[in-house]
Amino acid sequence: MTLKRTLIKAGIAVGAFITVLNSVFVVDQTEQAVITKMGNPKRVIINPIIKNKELSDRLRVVYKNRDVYLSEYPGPFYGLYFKIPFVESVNKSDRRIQSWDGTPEQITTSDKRYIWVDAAARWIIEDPLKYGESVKNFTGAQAKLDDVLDSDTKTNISKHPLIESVRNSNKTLLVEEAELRESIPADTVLVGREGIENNITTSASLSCKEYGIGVLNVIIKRINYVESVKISIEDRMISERKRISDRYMSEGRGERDKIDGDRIQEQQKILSEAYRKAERIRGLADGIAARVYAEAYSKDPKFYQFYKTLNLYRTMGDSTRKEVDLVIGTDNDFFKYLKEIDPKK
Amino acid sequence: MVDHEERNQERIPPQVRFKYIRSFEDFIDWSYYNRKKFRNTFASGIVGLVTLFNTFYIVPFGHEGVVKTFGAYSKTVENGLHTKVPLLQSVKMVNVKNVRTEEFGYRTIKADVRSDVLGVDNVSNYDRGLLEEIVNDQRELGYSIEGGNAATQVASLLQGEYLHLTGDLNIADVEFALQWKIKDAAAYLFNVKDPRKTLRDVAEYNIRLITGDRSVDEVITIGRGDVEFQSKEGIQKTLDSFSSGIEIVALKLGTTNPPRRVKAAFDSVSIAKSNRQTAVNSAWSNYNQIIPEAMGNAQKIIKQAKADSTNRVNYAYGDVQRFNETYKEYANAPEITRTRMYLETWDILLRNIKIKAVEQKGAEGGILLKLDLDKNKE
Repeated sequence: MTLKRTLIKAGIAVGAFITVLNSVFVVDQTEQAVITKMGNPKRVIINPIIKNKELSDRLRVVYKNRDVYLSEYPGPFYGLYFKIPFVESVNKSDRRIQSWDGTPEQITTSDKRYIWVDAAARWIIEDPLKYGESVKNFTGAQAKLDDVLDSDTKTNISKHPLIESVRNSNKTLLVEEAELRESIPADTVLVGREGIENNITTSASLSCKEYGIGVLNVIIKRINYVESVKISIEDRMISERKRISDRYMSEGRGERDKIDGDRIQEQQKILSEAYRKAERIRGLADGIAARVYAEAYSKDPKFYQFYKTLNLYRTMGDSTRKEVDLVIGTDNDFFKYLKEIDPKK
Repeated sequence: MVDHEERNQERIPPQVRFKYIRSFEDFIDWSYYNRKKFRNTFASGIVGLVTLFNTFYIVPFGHEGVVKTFGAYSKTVENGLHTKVPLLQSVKMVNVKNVRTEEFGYRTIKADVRSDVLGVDNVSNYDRGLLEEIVNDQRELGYSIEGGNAATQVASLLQGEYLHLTGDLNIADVEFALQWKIKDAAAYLFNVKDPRKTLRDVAEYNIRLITGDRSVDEVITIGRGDVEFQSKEGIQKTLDSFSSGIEIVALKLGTTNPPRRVKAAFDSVSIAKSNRQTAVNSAWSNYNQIIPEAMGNAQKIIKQAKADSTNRVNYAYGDVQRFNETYKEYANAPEITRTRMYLETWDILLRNIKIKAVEQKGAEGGILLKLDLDKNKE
């Protein structure tokens, strides 16, 4: 009898324990929970996103007009909540902002440029009810996001010319060399990178709504040319730069020649001016000399002639000019007296 | 030796007292008779310690403690000693002072004391284990990396990170490092599932948003500071829109280059630019050397002319004075002076030069052709 009683007592204790355990549950700060009664959703518990009213409200808004009761958060017992044991069950899912990483895709833009695009996205389980029904787990969600985002990215980027998904504004691009300005695409950016991303986000949000997934933002993480295009772009860059370096080289030669020309001009000007001045000075001196000579010699021109000629003879006989030989005829005046002597007398 | 089995265990023999313990065996006996007391003390000690450790906790310096009550976030505490309700509350320490670095387009490898930079060009210098570590790090973040061996995987990984398409539809290789820390421990823990991946994605996105709106020149040279600043702002803004709890401390651009194949052409521009300057400079230095020289030369020519003219005038006056003096004497006795001067001249000539007299028929005097008779004799 006592054994039976002990067994009953133990049974009641275990039963009570299990019941208590089954009537309470904890929702972590990173989770949200849906409480269903016989498969029908009754309550939803969503933890707020810390210090982000906008996103928190966005999560709350989903349940605003539904016939489910949204628990105020945090609950009166913090993360501890109660439910009717065995009748109600709890389905938890992640409340955090999650990442989606797309595989790089080859896309042709509307201006026939071949590029690789690598997109990524942030998403959140916005409607854990729908999420639980349609995708169930993280892998499922990733697969759905792959379907939606890959095609939305492709559609939106291929709809526009390349410049729209590369540039974001019509900001003037600064270049180091004037001729590089020519190669900057003149197209006006109408939509821009962020515009395209917003379009993708909007259309993806619509498609993902049925899975309970909220797409927060889609970002074009990387855009690259496909290899063959990359080579031709690099060739263009090389030829552009070569053109500039050639210009610099010829500019250098030109400037050098100009300076050299200036130098020659200046040099010759200086020297010729100096010649002009020097000759003028000499001329003046010659004038003075001529006047002085003329004044003196005109007193007796005949004597001057005699005097000057004798001086010239002396110059001829200057001891420094030894090599001069003088040959004179015997009937020279000098021999006058020599001839007059008659040895017969 | 005491036989335990035979003794009444309720009564403690008088010799088994704490003050009589003389040997290890005595101690064993003493503890045997006091085992009940021990058990209670030990059990309550354990419970007490566990409670103590569960109640008091120390948040180390530079950390913040994030307290959860039943899983729900309740508060964040500063460093220091704190209490909590055991079992119901839990605390997670988060380092909020530590500045972490994320690298893009390269990896800094800390080997021994020096640190190397692993880039696409020197991937093959590193051993497989290290390369696999880099690949695994990215895989853990959730990026899929496929194909080839570890070296080609790392190369394509880095290439993916540094290739940028600039606003003028050119290509630039941009390496950068991002320094970040946790500014809000709770937000960091609870808001974003994979903060590091989010950070990397957001960083790559925002910097390309900026470089996509700049020319290749701006990205690699003239606009680097602007790119750094704008990207940093953008990254912070995007991260804040998720309340990720991350603060960007700094964004530093590393080497920013045109694509490897194009680099030589870019370099040739700066070489040509400096060559142009060199040509101009050397032409000017030539100019500056020759023109002053010419000016000096000009001065010399003028001075020479002045000297010549002074000479000319002085010689003229000298000549004239001599003539005048001679003439004064001549005027007094013209005939005799004339003859004297004539003969004196002959005297000088005879002294200084060889004079050959030649018999001349028919000629009326004057200077004849010189016949070098002396030379023929020899």
